[in-house]
Amino acid sequence: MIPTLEELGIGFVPYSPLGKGFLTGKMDENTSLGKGDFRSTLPRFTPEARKTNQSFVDLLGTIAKQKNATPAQIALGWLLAQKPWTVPIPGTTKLSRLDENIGSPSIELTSNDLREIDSAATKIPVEGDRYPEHLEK
Amino acid sequence: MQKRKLGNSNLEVSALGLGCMGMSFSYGVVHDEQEMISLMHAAVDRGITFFDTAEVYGPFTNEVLLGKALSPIRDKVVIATKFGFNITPEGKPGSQGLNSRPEHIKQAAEGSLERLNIDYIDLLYQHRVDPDVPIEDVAGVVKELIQEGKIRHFGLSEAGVQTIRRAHAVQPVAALQ
Repeated sequence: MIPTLEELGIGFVPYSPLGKGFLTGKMDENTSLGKGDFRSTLPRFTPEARKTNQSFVDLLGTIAKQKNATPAQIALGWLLAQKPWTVPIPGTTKLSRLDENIGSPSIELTSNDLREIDSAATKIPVEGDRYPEHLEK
Repeated sequence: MQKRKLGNSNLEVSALGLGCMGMSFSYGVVHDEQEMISLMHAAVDRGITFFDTAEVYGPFTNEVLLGKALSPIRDKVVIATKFGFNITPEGKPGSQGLNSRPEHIKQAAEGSLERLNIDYIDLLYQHRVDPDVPIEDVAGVVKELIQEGKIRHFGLSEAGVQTIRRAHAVQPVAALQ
């Protein structure tokens, strides 16, 4: 996908760049999702999937500590570092999160950091599809 | 906040946009309207210029919310919205199936303009690819809307590589979500 966008000169706008909240590190397999929260219908948000995918958050957390940043800022910083025509659109309803997200473009991730994230991430299997089958169509 | 250009389009936006869906939809909580308007204004004060909504968020209410917050500061912001679902007022949002038939796209765009309270949409995405409508037809309608000045740029969401190429050949695609 990315090479095609590059070839055609099309911008990339990743939605849910924080994994619908999961990559902030503020939830785990014990977090209960409120009534009407659509994440409760998503395969990637079953307690089992959250437990398995916690390794991603741990990875982000480790790098965040080194950079004096938060996991969300590392996730967004990584995305921003991929291609200069990428514009993530994290959602939030809280001013504190808005400010946290806004800090991400100034996080300096070196090519070494990026390689480290990539190589660690490839070793972590992602559990659970993004959407149930009827919404994937 | 740094600015970025979306591909070869001349659409320049802040390096981070603000996704607005959760302000009125999907996460089980409808937030206070005035608080969300203040939050959008705080985002603009901090240099965010790119706001994302869709007809189906609510349905409709999220666009109305953005209209209240952003139409008074229209020249400072880039507004993106999306069409592509059948929506009935009493229906569960998104449960009515896909609809990117040309007539429906035109109606959806008019509705979005009205709810957002603006006279052009900076970026209009097809929300999901409709297997029943050739993507060339979709791109063709958006091209017409661009020629009429109602839309500035065309986007696709969750589209595959071949769909993107076919659409792009009819009307250049500015962004893929």
